[in-house]
Amino acid sequence: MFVSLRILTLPDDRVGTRETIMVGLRAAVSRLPGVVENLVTRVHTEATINAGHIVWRMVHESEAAANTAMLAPAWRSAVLPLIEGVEITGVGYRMTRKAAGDGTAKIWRGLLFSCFADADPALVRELEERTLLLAKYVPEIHAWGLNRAAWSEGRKPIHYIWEQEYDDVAGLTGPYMDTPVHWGVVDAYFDADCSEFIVDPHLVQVVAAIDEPVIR
Amino acid sequence: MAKTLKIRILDEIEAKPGLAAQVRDAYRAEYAPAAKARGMKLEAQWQSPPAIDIDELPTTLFFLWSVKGEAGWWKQRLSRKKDGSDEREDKLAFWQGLAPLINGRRRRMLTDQPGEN
Repeated sequence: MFVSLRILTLPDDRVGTRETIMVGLRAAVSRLPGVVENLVTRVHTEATINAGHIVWRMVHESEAAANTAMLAPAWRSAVLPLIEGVEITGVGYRMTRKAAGDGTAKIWRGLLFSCFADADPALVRELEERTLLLAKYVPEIHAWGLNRAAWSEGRKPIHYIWEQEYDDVAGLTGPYMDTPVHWGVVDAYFDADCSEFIVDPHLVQVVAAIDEPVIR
Repeated sequence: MAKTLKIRILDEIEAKPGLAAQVRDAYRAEYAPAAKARGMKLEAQWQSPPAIDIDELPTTLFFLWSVKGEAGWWKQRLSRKKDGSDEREDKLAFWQGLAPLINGRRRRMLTDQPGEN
């Protein structure tokens, strides 16, 4: 399966049209080929960073299917008019490193980040390995995925997508932040005070309420 | 009520031969005041080789800080400048400025070990 995730930031004078855009996107996606799942929802009001207004996450049969969807007539006729003038941070990735949950989670969180171009590959591997420890040591994480980007669109490249599902936002703002695995181990790669610092400070952290599992 | 975890932050900086004083002075003058403003408490300053700077050898300088609990740790980590902007660029600028004077550095987070001493 291949995911295309887009975070939409609306111009100030179009924020009031958010619901209209969301309804339009859902209808447009139903006309795109090869889309297995589709989530179009508003960005949660808490615990977000550079996250904009709308989360749009499609799951496709394959990367080729994702590309085909963007060439479909419905993309040109129905999707493009909705997103014209909207700032999009987008990323496409294979959902290969993941663990699904029991389907009861109500909050999905995605952290989109990139590493500096000159980052030591050994440190990048460490960052991946240690990030996965969070899934083991934070029981509030019910489902997770840590995947590398196949492509990205927007102002900056994105290299990684770190997704989790929680019962509530408190799982993210409390146990996830308080575990020593986070502040004592993983955060070093994000912290300019540490010699391991390799992650570009411009992060996108997006949180959304979900009715059904996003990570499957 | 849960006891607040005392978290220590240890900076370990290896100064190049003959530059220990310069590195020490830079850290004290340029880094420490901002760190204190972020809520960090300077607990100890050590060095090795001990007691004197030996110009022919690298000198490792240790600066041990403490913060109160996870909240105190994140306060220093996510600190903002007076104008509201991210202080991370200032932190990075300091370490980049220090880089030509040192062989390497490391920051470690420490707590007491579990159980009785």
